[in-house]
Amino acid sequence: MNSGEPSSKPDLYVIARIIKALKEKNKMNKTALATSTGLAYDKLVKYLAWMYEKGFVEVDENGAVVLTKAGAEAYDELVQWIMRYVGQLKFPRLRLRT
Amino acid sequence: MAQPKIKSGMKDQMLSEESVVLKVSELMETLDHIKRYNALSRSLKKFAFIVIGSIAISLAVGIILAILGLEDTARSPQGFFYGFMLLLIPLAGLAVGVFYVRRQVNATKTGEWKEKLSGGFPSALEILMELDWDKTLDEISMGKLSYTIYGLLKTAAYWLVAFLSLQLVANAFALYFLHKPAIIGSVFSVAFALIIVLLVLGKDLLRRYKEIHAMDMLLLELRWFSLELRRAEFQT
Repeated sequence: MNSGEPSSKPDLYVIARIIKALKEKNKMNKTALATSTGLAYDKLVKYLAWMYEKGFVEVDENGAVVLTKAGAEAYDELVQWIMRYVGQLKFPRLRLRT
Repeated sequence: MAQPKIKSGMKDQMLSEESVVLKVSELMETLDHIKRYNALSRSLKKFAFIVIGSIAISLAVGIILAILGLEDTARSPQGFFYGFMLLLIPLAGLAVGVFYVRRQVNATKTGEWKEKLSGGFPSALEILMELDWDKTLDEISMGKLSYTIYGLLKTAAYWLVAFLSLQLVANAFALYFLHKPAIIGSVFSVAFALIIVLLVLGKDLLRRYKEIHAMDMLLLELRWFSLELRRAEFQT
């Protein structure tokens, strides 16, 4: 795995996108993963390096990226974390009258 | 291997990805409504210009006719006709103004986020993270203010039209049936026109009030939400 990580704080939604793609396909090579997530290859590599450090992904003997249990759990936690905030929102019914 | 931890003192909820997407969809639909209020906000100046302009034109024409001695509803059927024509000017101004605002509001582009949101939870998260909250909150405040001003302007224009109509009808009635110059005074007309407007627009005004209150609540909700979102930290 290449070293290096996203230039600043990683975008959570990019990580979520990568994990989601891996959850759906089980394992993917980097090119397919970049296409599937709509990320530039070099950007994906940086994110994967960061995720590898955190233990969210692994690379198998064929060079395919595999999601770890920790990665899957991180994704579920992220969903719950965001829902904790969004879930409390109540939206009024607006109807503009001209 | 670092495990994900959540920093937050808020009540735990077990909800699915679909629930997040649904909530974000609700949020975006609400913000689409706010876009419509902002379209109203942008067209408010022109609306005021059209309505106030038409009233000014009506008054100017009335003054000219009075100088020429043509507009005196109390004395001739011709004067009544001129008075009626003068009433049509602000009425037309009001109709054109409302039509203009309606067109601007209906031309608002909405739902651009739908395609993006079709990407599921990561896209919902992206929308939330990328949203310019300060701008959104400002837009809601501005939309609320403009909507209030628009409602007041429209009510004032309705009142003026009602007042002029009342004066015209009362004077015509007095002239043709009672053979008197006028049966009601201006102060009475002012009050009576106000009662008519309140009767006609009563429900509308109540709905507008409720809507402004709803926008206030939305502002509070989103202010809280944006603060929580910015303050909270998802730790990996």
